[in-house]
Amino acid sequence: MDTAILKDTVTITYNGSDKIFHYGPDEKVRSVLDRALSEFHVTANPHLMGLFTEANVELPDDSTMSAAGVKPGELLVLRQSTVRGGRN
Amino acid sequence: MALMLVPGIIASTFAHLRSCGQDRDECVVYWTGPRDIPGAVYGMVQPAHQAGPDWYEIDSAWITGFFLDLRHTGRTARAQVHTHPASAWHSCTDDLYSLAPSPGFYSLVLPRFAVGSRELGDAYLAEHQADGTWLERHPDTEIREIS
Repeated sequence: MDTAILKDTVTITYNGSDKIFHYGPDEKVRSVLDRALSEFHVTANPHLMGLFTEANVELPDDSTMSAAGVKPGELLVLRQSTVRGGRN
Repeated sequence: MALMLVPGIIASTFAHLRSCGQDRDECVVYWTGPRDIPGAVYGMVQPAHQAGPDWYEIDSAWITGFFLDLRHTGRTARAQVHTHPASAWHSCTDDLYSLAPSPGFYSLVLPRFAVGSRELGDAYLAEHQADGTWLERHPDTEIREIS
């Protein structure tokens, strides 16, 4: 009998593009975030990026996916936690 | 990949930045285009934001909503365009907190709150690189309005 670990999926969207990610409920949000950053080729300042729900709630990096309330099939948004600019 | 703009984008960008900034505050817009046509810019989007004489910050809920709208409409943001009070350059804040810090995303900075000429000769353009840095580009060669 196979003992493959069942994994759920989420869709992560970034700047108009979607990718599907498998995850385990006990996997840290940071781990999924790091994989998303790699897939979307976001190489600069990964500590400034976050995963957000459609309701604009940022998932805590150190939580597990299940503790953060993520449900299988959910849509998450990869984005900068803060977007700003200027001469300052 | 050069940016190919439909006619009127540059004029409407200057008009909005001037109107919103009032020669007093910085301002920002995003250029968007269809995801499957590289470099194409068909529209300009004005974000909900706060700003002062030397800064701007985008409303958090607006960013999430914008990314959701982009996926629904098959578009992507190709560039951010913002003003500085004096000369145009890329500050540390500009480097770190752009909308889309991934390869091929452009950042165009317009000097003097975009109040001067509508030409891009005094503007500063940078393109995000695969190694996470920004590389200066020439606006005249990288930004073209198609007829």
